[in-house]
Amino acid sequence: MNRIFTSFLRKFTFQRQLGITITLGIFMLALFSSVVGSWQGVARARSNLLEQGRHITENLARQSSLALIYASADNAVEAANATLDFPGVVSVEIRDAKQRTLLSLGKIDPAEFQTQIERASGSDKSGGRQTSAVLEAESQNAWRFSAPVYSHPPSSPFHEATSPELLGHVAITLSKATLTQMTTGIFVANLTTSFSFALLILFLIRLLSKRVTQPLNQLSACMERAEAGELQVRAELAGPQDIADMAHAFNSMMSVLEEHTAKIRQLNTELEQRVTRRTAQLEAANKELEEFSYSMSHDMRTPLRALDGFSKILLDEHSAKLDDEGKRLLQVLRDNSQRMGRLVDDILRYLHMGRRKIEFSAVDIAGLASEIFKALQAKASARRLRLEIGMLPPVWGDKEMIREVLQSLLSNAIKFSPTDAEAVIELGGTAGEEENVYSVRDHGVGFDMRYVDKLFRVFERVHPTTQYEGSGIGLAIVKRIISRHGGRVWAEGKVNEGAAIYFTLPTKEKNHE
Amino acid sequence: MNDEMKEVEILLVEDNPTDAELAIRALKKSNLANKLVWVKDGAEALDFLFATGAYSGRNIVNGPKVILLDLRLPKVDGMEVLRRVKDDTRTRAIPVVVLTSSKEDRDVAESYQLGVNSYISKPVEFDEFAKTVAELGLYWLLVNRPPSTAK
Repeated sequence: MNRIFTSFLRKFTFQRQLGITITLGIFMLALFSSVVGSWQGVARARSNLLEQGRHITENLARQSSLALIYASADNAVEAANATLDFPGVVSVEIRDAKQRTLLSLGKIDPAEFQTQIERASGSDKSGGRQTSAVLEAESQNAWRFSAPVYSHPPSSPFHEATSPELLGHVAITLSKATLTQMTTGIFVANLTTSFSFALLILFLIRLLSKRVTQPLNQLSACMERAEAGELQVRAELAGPQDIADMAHAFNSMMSVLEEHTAKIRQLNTELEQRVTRRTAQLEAANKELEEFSYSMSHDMRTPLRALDGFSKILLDEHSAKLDDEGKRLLQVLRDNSQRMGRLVDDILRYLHMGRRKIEFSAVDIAGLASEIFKALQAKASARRLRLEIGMLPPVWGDKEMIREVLQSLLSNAIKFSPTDAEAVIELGGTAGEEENVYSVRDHGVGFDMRYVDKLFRVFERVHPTTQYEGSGIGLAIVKRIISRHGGRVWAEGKVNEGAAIYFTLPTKEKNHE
Repeated sequence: MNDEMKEVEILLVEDNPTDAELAIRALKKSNLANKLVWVKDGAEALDFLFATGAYSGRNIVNGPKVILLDLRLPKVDGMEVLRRVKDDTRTRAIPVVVLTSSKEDRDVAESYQLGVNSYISKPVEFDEFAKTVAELGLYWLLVNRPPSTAK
């Protein structure tokens, strides 16, 4: 319940809440005060009227004694008429001691007061002597007053006071119309006054609250604008002192904030510039280094060819002048220059894969693998080789570079497979949401997982050169190509149980993001 | 022998003397080096081909039947020589084989764009190099049939 009320209140602004509460309070106060005031007014008016009624009745009683003594109605007509002339007096009645009507003027409805008259006369008999007028009966529309009429013996010092003799009764009926009229008047006047005051007070409160809430609203609007990112937002210094102070505090806060933001922005720009500069320097240095390596490797090819070529010529054309040891030494020279030639070619290939611009297209990896495998089988015709191609997700990459990867991985797999039995190489993969995983697995010598990190480094080898040839650059090239495609490479293996090289390639969708 | 009458079969454009010697030896083994001219830079190659400068006495119609062209050359580089040969109607029909140590994709693409007939990257191993050069000579001089107007 409380929660519902709270959430209801939360829908309104502070000004609205204050307004609703004050309006309700003031109107209830106005209503209450006018009701109380009117009730008091009406009570006073009623007692005045009753007093007046009694007074009139007593007057009439005094003036009716002669008429009752002489049983002559004529003596009382003048007084009765005068009584009737009072506002609100609707009937006058004079009766003798034996309750016989002597005079009756004005409209009376005896039925209206029937019960009360009897009760009043009853009480009169049982009670003591009555001298003044009483309210004999009251109906919805009128009051009935009655007073006894006594004979008044002349008061004289010579006469002993005798008790007066009851001559009869007079009664008047006083209409309540005046009271009703007065009641309405009092109510209307009270209500009008109270509500006028209520409206006036509300108006004043509204003015005051506006003076308080308007600057608050402006301030909160300013804060919202500042929060939304608007610059140079300043609040107007309006309204009561404390609110103006708050606006001032907000303004200083904004100044400090803007100062800090500008400072941060400037630092950020400087930092970015520095990063850009450093990156460019690094890239330039790296490029220079690669260019140097490339030119050096490239330029080494010609002298190497000369070394190999002229050794060969020496062996071919001047063998007669050489003994066997001389020939052997020349052959060592040739073997080494050839090996260096292959090394240089591998380095060039490695560098080339870093420089080459990647041209993305859909690559038929299964077709490519079969083609490469066939060529490898042709080179090693003495061996029994089998390639098992499993599920392969589509490849999105540079066809020549992917060819290089497969070439390297498949020739490695064949190289490390047993030569005395059929070598089974498995190519498989799993599709992923962002990247696909591919693997090339063999059942050869495998490797010790302790050295797995060496596998992908340039010139690092896990097996000795004498056992398996190769420069140790193949997997480094694979890693470079896959990295440039945005993928990852890793290996799993166990000594004498084979090895598996895994690589990932981002899906086409991911690549095009 | 008169320069004007001398028929040339192979023009070898190579600035490196050892590479040139190795190439010539390989061709000699196949008996293909008898009518070979070796020039050491691009400018000399152009003089020879268009019978200008030192070769002004030469008759253009006397060949060569094939040009073995290196790309990195002093004075005028191989790419420029290739462009000039393929731009001129008198020399356009002569097959040009780029025989270079460059493996740059850019060079390969540009050479083919200019109309090269073959692009070969020199192998480091002499046996392979010798085999490649000999096969080249055999193919372009004996296997390939040039248009009759080339003579």
